[in-house]
Amino acid sequence: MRRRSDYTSMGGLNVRFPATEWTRVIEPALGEAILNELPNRYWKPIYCYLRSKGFGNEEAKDLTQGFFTEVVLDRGLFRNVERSKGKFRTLLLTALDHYVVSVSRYEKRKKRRPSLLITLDEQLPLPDSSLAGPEEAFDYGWAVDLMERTLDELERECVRDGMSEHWQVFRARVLLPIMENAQAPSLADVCRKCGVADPAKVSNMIVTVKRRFKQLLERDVRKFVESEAEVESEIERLIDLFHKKAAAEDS
Amino acid sequence: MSAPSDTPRFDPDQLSQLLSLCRERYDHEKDSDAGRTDREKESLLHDLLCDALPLSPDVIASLPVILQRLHREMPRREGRSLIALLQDPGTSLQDLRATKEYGKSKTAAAQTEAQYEAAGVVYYAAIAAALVLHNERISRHSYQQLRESFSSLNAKEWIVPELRQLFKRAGECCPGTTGAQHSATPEG
Repeated sequence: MRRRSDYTSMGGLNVRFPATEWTRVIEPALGEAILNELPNRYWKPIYCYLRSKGFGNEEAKDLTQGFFTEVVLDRGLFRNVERSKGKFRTLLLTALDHYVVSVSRYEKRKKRRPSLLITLDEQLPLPDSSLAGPEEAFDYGWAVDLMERTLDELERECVRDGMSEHWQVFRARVLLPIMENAQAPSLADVCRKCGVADPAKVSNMIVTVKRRFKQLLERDVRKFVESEAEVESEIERLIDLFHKKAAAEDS
Repeated sequence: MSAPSDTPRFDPDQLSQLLSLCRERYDHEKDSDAGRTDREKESLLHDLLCDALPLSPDVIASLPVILQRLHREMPRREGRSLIALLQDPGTSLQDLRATKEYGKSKTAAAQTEAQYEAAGVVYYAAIAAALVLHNERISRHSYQQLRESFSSLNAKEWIVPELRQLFKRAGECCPGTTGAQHSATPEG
């Protein structure tokens, strides 16, 4: 039987940034952690955004690398936003658009710093062709990454907390039917498959894991919105976006 | 090197369905505002307890504003989660004082009642742990005030059982409770 990891074989950006003045001013470990975390978190949505803008696979990878190397390293990006909060995603895309324009004008891709070692896993997602525009492609890449991380962490927490059986039940009854576009098995079938005696217990186990899934997802979304009220609206916006896309594909 | 995959890991429909799990209200959440609030407090407290002590506020404050929200995901100085720290007999008083200050700072920064209460649990848990683990009072609150606070916190079902037990034991450590012994001069 396929594990959840079979569905999410996206690779990552292996980036090591040289120390900068900024990382020396702020505690070095934290500065480096921040610089390493941003590409890990945003390379997929940025790559999707660029592909949706019409760049080919290699061009999009090149620009993604260049953006993180040349713009994220340059304190100019964060210096400009220090005075206001704003949505991080909006600022990132604005900076990215400016960078793309500057690259096309000045061919900065030819001046990449040779000392940086940057590799990109070849297993990169292609944006769904039904997505209307680059910002939707960005949202798609971001949502895919969010979902992968949430499900990964959910499984780890279940195992860590002695709830492996809970995870197996959730996977059988909720996750696999979604991923395989199949009918969910009955509670009785899940009992038999997972070795749980009582369907009522299975039902409670599923609720426990779903609740935790919701908490983890909301926790991650909360970090990137302005207020608590926006957490729910952001999730609703994404549901609406992807539901419309799915409906458009079915029609 | 393998060819790039053209297959998205989640298609839009799958994402929509998975995200829709967040729309569901689970049994104990369905009916009351109090239930939803308790669930939110439980969730916020869980997040606090799973994290380690953060870097000092001075370092965080030096970050660009846009990154300050992200700092929670960054590696911490210490690997231990707060829940582990609060229950470990080997945790130093210094770390417990730092935890207390962390809880205090989070209550000051709270924007909702739920955030305030969750952070308050961390604050009192540090004081409780100092009493239970070191027989030291690291708070200016009187023993009577602490006893009342611990009793109140022990009764809150949204707080994890480990901390409720800690609060119960800390209450028993406060003078005026049978068998309790005095601790050192109170701190701020």
